[in-house]
Amino acid sequence: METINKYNISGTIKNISGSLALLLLPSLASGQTEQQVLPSELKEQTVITEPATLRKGFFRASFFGSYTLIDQAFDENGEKGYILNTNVWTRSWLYQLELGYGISDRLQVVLRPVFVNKQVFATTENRFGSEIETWSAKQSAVGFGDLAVGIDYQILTETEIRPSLVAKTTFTLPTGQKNPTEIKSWTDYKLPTGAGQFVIALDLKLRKIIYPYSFTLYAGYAYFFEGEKIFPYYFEPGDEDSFKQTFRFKSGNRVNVSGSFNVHLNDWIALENQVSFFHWMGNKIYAEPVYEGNKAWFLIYMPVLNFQIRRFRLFEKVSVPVLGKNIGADPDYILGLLYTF
Amino acid sequence: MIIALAMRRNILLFIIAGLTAHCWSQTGGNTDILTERVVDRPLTLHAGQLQINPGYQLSIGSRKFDADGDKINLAKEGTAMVQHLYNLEIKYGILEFLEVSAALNYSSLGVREKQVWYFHGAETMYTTQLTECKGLSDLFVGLALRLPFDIDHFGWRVSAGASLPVANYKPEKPTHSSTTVVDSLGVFQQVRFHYNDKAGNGTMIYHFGTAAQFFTDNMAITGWADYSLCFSEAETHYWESRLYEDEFSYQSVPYKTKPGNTLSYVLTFDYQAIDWFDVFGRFSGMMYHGGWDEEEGVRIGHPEKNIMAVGFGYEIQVARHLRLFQSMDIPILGKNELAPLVIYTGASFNFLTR
Repeated sequence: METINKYNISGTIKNISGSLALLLLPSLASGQTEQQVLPSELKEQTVITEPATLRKGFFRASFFGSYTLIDQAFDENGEKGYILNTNVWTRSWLYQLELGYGISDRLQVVLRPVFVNKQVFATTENRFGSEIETWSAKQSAVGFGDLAVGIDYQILTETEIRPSLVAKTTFTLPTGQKNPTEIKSWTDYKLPTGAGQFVIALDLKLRKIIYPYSFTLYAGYAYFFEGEKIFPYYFEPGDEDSFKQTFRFKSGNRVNVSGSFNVHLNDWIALENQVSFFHWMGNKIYAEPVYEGNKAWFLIYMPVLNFQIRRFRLFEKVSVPVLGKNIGADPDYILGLLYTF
Repeated sequence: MIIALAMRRNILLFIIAGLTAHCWSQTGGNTDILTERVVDRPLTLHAGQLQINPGYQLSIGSRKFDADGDKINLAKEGTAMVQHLYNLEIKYGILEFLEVSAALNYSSLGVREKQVWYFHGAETMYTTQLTECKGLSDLFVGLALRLPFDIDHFGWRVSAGASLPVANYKPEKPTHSSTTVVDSLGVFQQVRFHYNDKAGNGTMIYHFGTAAQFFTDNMAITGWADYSLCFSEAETHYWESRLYEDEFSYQSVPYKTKPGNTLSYVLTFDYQAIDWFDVFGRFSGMMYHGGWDEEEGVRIGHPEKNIMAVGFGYEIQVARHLRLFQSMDIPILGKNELAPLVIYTGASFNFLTR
């Protein structure tokens, strides 16, 4: 009997606890489980809500077009002014394709081929007494530039308290044409589309999402390896040998630090506000005498407007140099389209 | 002169850009006032509606039209021109049919001319020239009144305003320089001419305008015209410079100037693709005539100018209080006028105060 009663009591308790569990479960469950999200929805996340690297098996193709003109510059005293002594005028389009693939939820690889379309104009008038001779030059660079390959690893994934931390390593390979081509005279030639040097860059990116905001901190260093190429600067009028002369060179290494504050203006439009500081060591050309360029730096403000339309993301970015030294001071306009497969 | 006209034209382009954001007519729809579709908006703000419109305009001058209307490539001509313009416009609906507005621009325009080398015996000199025009514009204030009753598929408004001469307009002293340069090519004198102009008009300019609109559920055609004129001249000066032993000296030469009259017009086709997304194409133009400069009793008229452009753009209702718009205008015809490609990006913040 006892046994039976015991069983009965035990059964009653089990029934009560079972009922309680059933009653409490929905509230417990809703408090602790994540909402079920389809992979297709994950691919529609915005620049603010998406993870710091692509998820495993996700593939993203991006196309960027950037427009640059050279009109003003920061001089060695940090004063911003128009480029004097010449009316040289550059109109430059740079097209870049970026292909990214998530090998795991923490590891992604990216490939960045670049296409360059750049034009430089300059006009000079020579007056010999009453005789006037006008010389106009248009130089262009059209073709594939240097190829960049990147590996990004998420060292820390983001939690409610902890920000994510990503290490980005980028190798730039000098696949673009490094020398001027079709050289007909000291002023008539095609400009190169590549830089002719290997570059390795390491960046660390820290990000925290506090929806609808996110904050990032970014720091990086790029090392430029020595290269060898022809420099039009050393062309001598009428001296064809000078058109073929190559020089060893080394571009100055680069340090960059940036931070951004990003906000969702609505569910599908996000505004990024980025402030970046770049510093370049001086370039060197091992000619006779050795050319040693000045160090250069600038501080830029970069607002970015992102439109997330399902898996498409369209963004517009303007890079506005605010302060600087020995560097161009004109804004860059960048338009990009991304699609996540 | 070219710069003064370019500035005036920029004010007009700015007005055009502002109009794109608000002037398409009629009331209706189920949305609240701040999220009205572009094609549902009346030609003036609603009573109590406050609108703040900041924007940025980039003009890249790669061409100009000569006196015969032929297109000249400025790169071949040896001229490089870029203008950055930041504008701020504030509007308020005093009544449901009456709106008041004020607008101010800050611009930075630079025109760089070709390098000129002078070879005279053993002496060699080369010159470059930069004309800079930087600063605040005059302050525009205006009133706009629309029909105080609704007519099916039609809206109409009239407007009047004035550009108050509050901005600097007299050119500052030039900052020319001359140096002797020694390099591998030899010894030569390098002379840089650097002019520092200002963006103001120096005199009051009055504006009278009208706009009319025909619309359907998702489309609207709007015509807008503004005529600006000036009744008084301004006293200003230019700078004469003299170079002696690498040192420039300057002398101010006074003269009178009277801005001419300008007719500006825009015809816009709007298509409301989605409630929050509007695309538009437009045809716009400007005609200038009647201005003059007078020095020592000799009066010289400004050349007549005109320009026509086609443009396109979009507006997005981002949030209840925020709209974004962008446009691009490409000049197609003109006379005696620069023909810059104009890219405009603006935001519009809207609030209800009642």
